[in-house]
Amino acid sequence: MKLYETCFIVNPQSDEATIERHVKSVMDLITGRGGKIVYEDRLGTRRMTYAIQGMTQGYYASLIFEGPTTLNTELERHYHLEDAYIRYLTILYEGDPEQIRTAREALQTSLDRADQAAAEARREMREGGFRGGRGRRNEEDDFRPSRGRRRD
Amino acid sequence: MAEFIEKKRRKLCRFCENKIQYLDFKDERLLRRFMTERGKIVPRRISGNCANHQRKLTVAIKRGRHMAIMPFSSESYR
Repeated sequence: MKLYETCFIVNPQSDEATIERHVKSVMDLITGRGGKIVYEDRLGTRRMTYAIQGMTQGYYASLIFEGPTTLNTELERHYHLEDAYIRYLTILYEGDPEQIRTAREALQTSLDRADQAAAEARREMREGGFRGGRGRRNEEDDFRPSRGRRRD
Repeated sequence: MAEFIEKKRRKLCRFCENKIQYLDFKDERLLRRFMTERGKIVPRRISGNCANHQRKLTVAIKRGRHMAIMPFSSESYR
């Protein structure tokens, strides 16, 4: 059986017991249909980057599980029937199953290097050095190549 | 022309260097580093990522956008 990851957002306006019940019902559905939960990750209530159904916060939970292929449609149906789930996503988990627990820590250690690299990339982008000789760009986000001088 | 060639140096893919194979769409801190303030994905020629990792990165960012972890666009920009 393959590994999948299902992530969903529960309406945070309901009380804790209700949220817990919604998370539990997903877990029960997985285990009830021959699946096995490998890792449970509760991100908790956090701000969403954009409002969904007028809500700015959501309770995030993510489950990595092993299960039959038919489980995905069952999950979709489950999420769809209940209004409390604001968003959901089920994907094939491509990470190393043995490293699920350690993957996060490994990422944290490499973050500093990534941070440094990104800062470098941003500076390079600002300076416009990557295309050479065409002068500075005013807008940081403008990735389009320069069209050259107008000839009309 | 010579100075352009001199300036050009080989960028290494950050993920290859750190031997990261899987990019989690929930890892906002990491993904934000490859996004501009406006919410656009930084292109490969600037971030220096290899094709394989850039592809994984864009998929992760887009999944993050669907789950409202990453922004589609940032409103703070004017």
